[in-house]
Amino acid sequence: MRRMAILATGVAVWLFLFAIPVFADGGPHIATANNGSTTLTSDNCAGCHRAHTATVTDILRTEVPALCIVCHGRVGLGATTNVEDGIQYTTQTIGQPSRSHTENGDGTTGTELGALRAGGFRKARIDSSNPGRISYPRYSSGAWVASFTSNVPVLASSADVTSRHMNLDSLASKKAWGNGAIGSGAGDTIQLNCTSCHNPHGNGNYRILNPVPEADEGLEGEGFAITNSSGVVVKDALPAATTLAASTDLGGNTRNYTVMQNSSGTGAVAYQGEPATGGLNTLLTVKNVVDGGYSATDGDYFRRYVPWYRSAIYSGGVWTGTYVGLSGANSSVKGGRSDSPTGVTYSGNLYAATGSTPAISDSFSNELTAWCAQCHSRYHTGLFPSAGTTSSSFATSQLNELTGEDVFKFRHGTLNNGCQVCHVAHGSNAQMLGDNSKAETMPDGSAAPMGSTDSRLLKVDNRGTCQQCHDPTGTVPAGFSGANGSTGTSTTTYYGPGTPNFPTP
Amino acid sequence: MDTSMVPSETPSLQAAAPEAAAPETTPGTDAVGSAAIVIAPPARRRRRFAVLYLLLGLFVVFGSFAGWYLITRKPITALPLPAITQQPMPKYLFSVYGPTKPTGIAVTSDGSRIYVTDPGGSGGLMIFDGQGRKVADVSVPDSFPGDHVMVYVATDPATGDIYVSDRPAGAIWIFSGDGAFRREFEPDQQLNGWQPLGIAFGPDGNLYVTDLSGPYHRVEVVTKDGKLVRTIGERGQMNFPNGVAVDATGRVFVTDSNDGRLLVFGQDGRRVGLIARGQKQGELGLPRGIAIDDQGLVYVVDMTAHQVQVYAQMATDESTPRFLGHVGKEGSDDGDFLFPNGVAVDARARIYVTDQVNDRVQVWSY
Repeated sequence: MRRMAILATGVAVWLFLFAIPVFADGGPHIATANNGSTTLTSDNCAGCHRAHTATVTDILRTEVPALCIVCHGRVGLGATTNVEDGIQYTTQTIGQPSRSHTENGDGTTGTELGALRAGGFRKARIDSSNPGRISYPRYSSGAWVASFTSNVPVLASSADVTSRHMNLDSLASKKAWGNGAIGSGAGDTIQLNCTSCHNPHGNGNYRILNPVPEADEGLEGEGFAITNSSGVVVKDALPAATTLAASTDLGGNTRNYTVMQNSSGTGAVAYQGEPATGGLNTLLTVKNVVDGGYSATDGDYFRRYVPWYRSAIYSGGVWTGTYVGLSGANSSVKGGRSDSPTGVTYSGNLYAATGSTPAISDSFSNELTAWCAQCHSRYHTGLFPSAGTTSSSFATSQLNELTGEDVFKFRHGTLNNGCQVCHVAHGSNAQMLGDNSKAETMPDGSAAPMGSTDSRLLKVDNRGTCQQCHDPTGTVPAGFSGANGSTGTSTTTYYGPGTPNFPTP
Repeated sequence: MDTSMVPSETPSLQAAAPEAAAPETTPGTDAVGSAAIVIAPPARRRRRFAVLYLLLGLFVVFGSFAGWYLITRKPITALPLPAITQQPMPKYLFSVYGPTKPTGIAVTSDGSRIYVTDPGGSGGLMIFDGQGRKVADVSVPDSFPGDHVMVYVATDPATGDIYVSDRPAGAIWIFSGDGAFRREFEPDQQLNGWQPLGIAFGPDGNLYVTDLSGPYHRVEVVTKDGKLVRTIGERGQMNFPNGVAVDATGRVFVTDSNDGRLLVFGQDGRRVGLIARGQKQGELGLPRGIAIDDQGLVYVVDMTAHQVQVYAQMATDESTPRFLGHVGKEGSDDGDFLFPNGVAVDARARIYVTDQVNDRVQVWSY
């Protein structure tokens, strides 16, 4: 009896051990809490992976980007972001009045919250032919000058892209322009995929971006410093961990903003007063903004006005401010060119710099630029100048010759003028039809990927991004508001002293 | 004298008398000569021979049978063993080409008309006949501005009209069976701002619609004139439900796509069944389209498995539809799928599947 009992027990144990089912559950990658950081469980792994029978590299059960597009495709069957057409669908609560497409300006209703700032890989909704430029008075060196701010509206309906970061249908190898050591040529050949930039498992970063972009192959890692001919380090070596980590989680205010700015709408307009005379010292708010009033946790994404503008000001040997359009005391934005801030102090900033310690490493704009520079390393003109650099040399350092470089010898400053000021990440529908704008070759002399009208991921037609910020003629008056090349409006646009709209202390 | 030690003589030499005969003496010898051969009694000898013959006979018989079996035996499958009845799976018939990245599909009961959405192409709908020849392209009239991308489609069994969900517009459009535009489906005020996705008609004649609007994804049951009858699903229960179907008993089957599962709700709205996500047979990865045939069989497109899973009609006391088998595998050949999405069935037991990345519709039949 005893032997029988032992035998029965042994059989039962054997059956138990060898009969447990494998609980590798299926399903798509985690989709709660913004595809973000807190809900990863093993429950979700088998939606994409197979440990022993995978048919695709990375032990995926099926290939990307097709796997990504099943949710993030045109019809948004599994997500609110449509990266094919560059559209964000709303998560509006039922029973509310149907949304009107204020971004489109056509008053149509529907489920589209707006356009993705990055555009789409097949279509985008960038109103590249109708960019807005607003000039505002800025007190500089004892005089009022015109400074500019810009916005690019949303197109009423999606248009085919004329440039894209990646071809969804053919992941062919391509050049990462500017990648590589100084003097190494136009760039290295890499192959991109959705997961080169994004972490499908979710993380706490903006847009679940990888801490460092990772091409499938061929990417030469960033890690070198660039010194100009004066010996000033104009770009520090970026450690691999230089990224968009927690520092970009600015209280949820900018982490997931999606929608492109509009050219219509309302908003308070102030001006930058003259501090020396006890002026208002009120920060400027760009007029044409739309703030839907969504909270930071409203659905997957929310809309807030977040500008592309520079963040830190270095003046008189002191770093004096960083702001990115947050709510509260510094909900305004300062726009304009980055080469002439003088003697202006802004208070109450979220990421205030102190003395000789720059805060720009925390600035959203510069973080994004540093991120892009992991691949486009020689485009970056400087993360931060050396401490003690005066404002003039600060400005100069951005444009200095890159010693030993043949292709990317002189470059537009990227410090405080992030990549995203001019470019989009996925695809742009901007048109390059002008004689001077089209038929541009790539840095290695090859033809552009999408032909002569390739828009290089720029937002404005015919390289018009330049005019958004620059007026080389010096003739545009302060208070001009309108599209490039237009005469603007009259009575409501002048905000300088003595005008009807000039706020009084 | 121990006669057992005495060799027996041949039977012809043995004495016939049953009693043991007195030992015989040989002539000229003394009365008692040397030890004589003892012969077993005749009866015992006969029994022994009988047993011997019997054994020999059995050996011959069984040996012959064994030899016959070894020479002529067949595989065991040839024998009529009692078999477990298996549901036959449909077989591939043909494909219909034309739509680009098709997602939704519906078919008339007799299979004479196939309606397929074309989101990767025109954004509208294509109508094919039963042989797969295109008969019409359908789109939303220009009088309705904005983006239009048709996603899922259902046929009204009562009128033959087709109802199509439009993702960007957040609307359902109604066309005749021939593709003539009728009107926009106008739901109750309380459904303003809804985001209809999957649609199906129930045996009660109502429209069942998966809704992606806030505050949580769910299924709306509405009459054909737009009146909200009830809502199915609780907060957090569904995540991008794509497909919905209703069986003859009124149970509502919903593909809870991003949660990787199939939910079954009773007429009172309580969840009564579940197919979980997982790797076991019958479990799901990314379920999208769903259809139920007139036998109650449930067809669920599992997109990331590149298959259509088939389940039995659910008995009233069952909590999980019984898995019967699957249709298709990953690939681009006839009968293979690449990210299939929608499914429909007709009364002839034909199954129609939108083979999305292969840009076609596949037709299968029993």
